[in-house]
Amino acid sequence: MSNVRSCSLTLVCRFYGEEGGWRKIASTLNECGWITEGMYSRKDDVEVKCFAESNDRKEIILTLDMGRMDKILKIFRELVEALFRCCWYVDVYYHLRGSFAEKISEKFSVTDMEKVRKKIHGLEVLIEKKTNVNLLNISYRLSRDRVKSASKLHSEIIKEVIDVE
Amino acid sequence: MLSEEYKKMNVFGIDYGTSDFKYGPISIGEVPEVVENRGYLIDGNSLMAKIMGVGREIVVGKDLPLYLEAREDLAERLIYPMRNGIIEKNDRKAWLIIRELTKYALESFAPSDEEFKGFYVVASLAVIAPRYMYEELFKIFGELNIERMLVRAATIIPQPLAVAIAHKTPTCVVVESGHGNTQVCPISMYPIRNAVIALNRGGSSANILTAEILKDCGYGDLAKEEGLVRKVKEQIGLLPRKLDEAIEYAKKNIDKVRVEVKIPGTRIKIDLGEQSWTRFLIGEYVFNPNHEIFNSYFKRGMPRPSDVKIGDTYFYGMTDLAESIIESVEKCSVELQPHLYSKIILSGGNFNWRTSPTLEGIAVTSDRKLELMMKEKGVENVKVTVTRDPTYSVWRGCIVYGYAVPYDFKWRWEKMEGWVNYA
Repeated sequence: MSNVRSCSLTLVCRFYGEEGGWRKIASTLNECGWITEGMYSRKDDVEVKCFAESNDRKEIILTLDMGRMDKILKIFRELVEALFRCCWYVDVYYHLRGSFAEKISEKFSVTDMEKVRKKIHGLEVLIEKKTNVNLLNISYRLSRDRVKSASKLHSEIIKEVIDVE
Repeated sequence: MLSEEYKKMNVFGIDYGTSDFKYGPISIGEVPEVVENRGYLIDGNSLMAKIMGVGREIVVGKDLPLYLEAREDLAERLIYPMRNGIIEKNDRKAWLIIRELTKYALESFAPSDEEFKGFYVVASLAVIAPRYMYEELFKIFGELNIERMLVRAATIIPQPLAVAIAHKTPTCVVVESGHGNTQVCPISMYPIRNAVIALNRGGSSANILTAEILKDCGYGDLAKEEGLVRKVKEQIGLLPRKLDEAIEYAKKNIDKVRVEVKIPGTRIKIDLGEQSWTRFLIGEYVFNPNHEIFNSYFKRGMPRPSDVKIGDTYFYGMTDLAESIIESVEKCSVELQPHLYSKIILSGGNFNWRTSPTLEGIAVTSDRKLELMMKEKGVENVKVTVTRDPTYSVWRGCIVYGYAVPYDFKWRWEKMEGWVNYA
């Protein structure tokens, strides 16, 4: 498994009361300069994919292609701000494996505890470690007023990932 | 919190592939964990096993190589339960290994906190898997809960349907080619089961040919190790646009096709030299083993992919890939056929063929190859797509399916959908 594959980012978007689905996300992203083709939207070498939709179309899982970490670093804030045009909140998940998991665990002082909650830049962050599969998940619920804090945390995580690469 | 929210957080996908077993929960990202779909039965009478304190009967997963004994009966004890995608009903050893692998996968990710009440497991089997395999697997999920609640609910979907779900394509033909077999499955919302064609050919067939090529090039000692042969195949195998043209080109331009492969962690280097043109045979064999050039290998003892019957399913050995797709589509309604040809999805590790800019027009990708083959057989308006990361698309389909199916949707045998509940 390559390093690129060992770090991935998932965004679980919750729409306001009404149905949304990929069509809604794609049209919102298109308004913000993204180009959509099928289940993918691209901008500045970053690609967002519709991974899964809930049956009621009120929730959607997006994944980011992690091929260009330098671009991912820059576009995060722009992307979530676009998503907040149609979403109530976004759950952000970083999935890190192997050497990335070890490095980020060190950074956030995570020991062998399976699950730990921390407040980072004002965000309630859940860090879950699965030692037997060498996996580290970092997740938090992002609301519109916390985008700045989330961008800071995002930069810290991705910079560490770029360092390991 | 046993609700839709709980289910969405605890979907767990398992792809019972013929060679690799892919598993993991929704929270793992886009790439599952992978171990070989095999198990090793420890000899209970082995003195060394007793001395070493090996207290279990079956070993599966990443530690398995540590337990392999250098014994003549290794082949009997090292079992690949799903070589053809089907397990015989009474094959006790194979089912024991499937049970152990399933337990291994679920326990790897089951949280220890009290909030955890079991996963919503979406398992995927070959489309040709008979009903008793579904029943046996549901039984295993239930049994695993005796010690600890691991499975809250479970469902099983055919692998080609999982691929179609991952690509959100309700009408298509999915060609799933794994290590042991190839399944051609037209889908129109549900798999069209009476149109499914199974081929007794997969990645292992290309491995066998690669081993023969290695022998011919003086690497007979290496050709005995299947794992190494597989790595070499992945590094050197090429898929020709047209085999005759590619061979002619390669013989005239050896420097363009010659490659040296170094096996990581060893001193082994492989160079096919003057025989580098044989790189094109490896890819061609997967798509069409009928070319006369393969006869020389068959005559020298390489087994010809044969037609076999396993359970109630025929697996065809020599039918070329385009022909099998046409045969399959022509079993569907005439009205549906153009729609099926316009969305052919190739999935599985066996479609991962490399190309290089220096071999443009000579070596092609799987989608391009199949489009050409279909055109030669007179089928127009064909659109073939290779899934991104074809190795993982079944597992991803499992996750997408589990996320979408409502938690209270009960399993129905007549439709083969919904959750079997273990609460």
